Amino acid sequence: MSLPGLWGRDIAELLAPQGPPRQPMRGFDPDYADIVDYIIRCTHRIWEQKDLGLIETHYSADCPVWMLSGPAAGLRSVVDGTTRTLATFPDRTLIGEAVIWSGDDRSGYLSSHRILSTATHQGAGEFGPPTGRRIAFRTVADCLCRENRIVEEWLVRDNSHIALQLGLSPAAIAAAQAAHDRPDGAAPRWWAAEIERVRASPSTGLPAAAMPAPEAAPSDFALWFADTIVAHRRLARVRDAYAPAAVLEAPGGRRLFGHGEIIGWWAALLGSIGGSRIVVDHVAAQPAGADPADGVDIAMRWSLAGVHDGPALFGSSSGRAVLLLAVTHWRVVGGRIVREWTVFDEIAVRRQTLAPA
Amino acid sequence: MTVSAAFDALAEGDAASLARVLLHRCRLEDGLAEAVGRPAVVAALMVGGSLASDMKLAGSGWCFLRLKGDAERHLWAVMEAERAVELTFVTGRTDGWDGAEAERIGAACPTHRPLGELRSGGGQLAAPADDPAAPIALRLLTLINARSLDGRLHLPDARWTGPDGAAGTALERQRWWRKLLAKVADAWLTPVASLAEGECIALRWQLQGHLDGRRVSLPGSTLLRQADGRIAEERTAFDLLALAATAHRPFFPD
Repeated sequence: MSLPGLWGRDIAELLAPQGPPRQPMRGFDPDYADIVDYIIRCTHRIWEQKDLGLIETHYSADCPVWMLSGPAAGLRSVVDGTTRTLATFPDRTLIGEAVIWSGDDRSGYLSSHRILSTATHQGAGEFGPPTGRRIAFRTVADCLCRENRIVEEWLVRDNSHIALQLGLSPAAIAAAQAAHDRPDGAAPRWWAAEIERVRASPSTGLPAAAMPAPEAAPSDFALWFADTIVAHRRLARVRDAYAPAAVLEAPGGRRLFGHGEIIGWWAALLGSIGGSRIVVDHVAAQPAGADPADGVDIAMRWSLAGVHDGPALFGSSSGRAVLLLAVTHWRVVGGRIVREWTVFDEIAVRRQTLAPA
Repeated sequence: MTVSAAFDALAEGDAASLARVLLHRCRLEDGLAEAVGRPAVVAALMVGGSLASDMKLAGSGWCFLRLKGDAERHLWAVMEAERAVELTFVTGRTDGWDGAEAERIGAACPTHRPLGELRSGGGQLAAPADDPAAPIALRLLTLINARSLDGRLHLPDARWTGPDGAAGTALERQRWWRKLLAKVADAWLTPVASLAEGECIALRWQLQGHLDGRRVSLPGSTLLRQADGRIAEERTAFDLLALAATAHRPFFPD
């Protein structure tokens, strides 16, 4: 089933009443016409209209929220986390860039919501005392939604980009956070369990298969990308997968142009985390617009684990096992990636390299 | 209302018209800075000088405008359903190759250390050779990448207009490119988009290279007029102030 996404639609149109449901929405509030409408409208109501109480009717009581900085669980932690962020960035505007969804109302819709936020750092919080600086940063919220409630969420935020725009050092923030970590804390225990899961994934031989057509077989393409380019370091295949003028927006607010810089970033990432293994945890795809020529949007959530044995991106080699929880969105046109947005929390990666064993 | 008409309206002081043709999530970049969201984009455009346009090309999800004025100022927009979502403003700011303004602007725009190479996978191979069968706009970039600046694609009396609006012929064109390549010796131009209508071709390209250890990655734009299969007129917009500022950009902390 294809729904109107965000292509060409202004915020006023997105927030206007949408009429009767466009897809099965069993158990959802009647003013939500489809999963895209649900995600955009409830985000606006909770964050921009500041109706934080709606979290009680939009999250399950025991909803786990998986973040690389450490997992959280339950309604109260979502309300508290949202309130704290709003106290720090009271004028935060959440610009929905894409909602790439899969599933149905029986098993649950899984939406991958890419958000570009603008905000002013007006309150004390996780980034220290207010600086008054105006910033922009990207997040992706992968939400499993059933009967009007988010029942599980994977949340990635470009925290190092926030820090850099505020004039702060991601390394210093990570060190301060790591100083409070305990080996038996929730975050280190979750990192260890996830690293074990990723490392236990089966290894493959050197892939030689042709690149699957991303528009026709997005899941196959995502798996091919992870296995060929990431797991087996066949970075030359970047020139097959990406258009020559492709742009990759990577953590830290990096904007990388063209094959050379894109390969450079992947090499820096994989060169920082030796022996890394990757697991693709979820893939979804939707047409970008009504016209097939507009392309396809693909969302891939992935976990990567290895040893921090290179200094390219996350400071001097520590020899520590580290985990990445990341979401990648691709815009594919004419069989090649023309835009990529990859989001993960580099500060949380650095924190793992510094946390007490 | 078209984007072109909206810019004309903005030039007359009517920002509301422009807001109607920009999506709420639009972004504007000029190579150094970025405005995010419609209010910020409108505000940035309003300080950019007159926005009345005298040339428009559109197609394939892109829109190109040449803005009236002494200097070459080109605006490229990625369109979604007749509304702009990504804008790239290629201004012909030329002052400050070595001036205080470049230092001031550069100091305000920290950058990451460079990642990756410019010519992916090229190794020791020479730059790709000119392909006479390729579109003329792409051949133009190929020849610059190969440092062939002899104007072989141009008519003998072809007109050249540089970013500062100074006009000339093949000799002035060659001098301008030589000056640029002297600053960024490893400059590499990659085509991003092109639009054609009648004899006119607009070409958006990205220049990458290095300046004092900083990665240069700046948008450029060229408007061509063809005659008899050759280039009769070339107008190039490129922000030399942004290029000069690159040398002054501090690195983000490691």
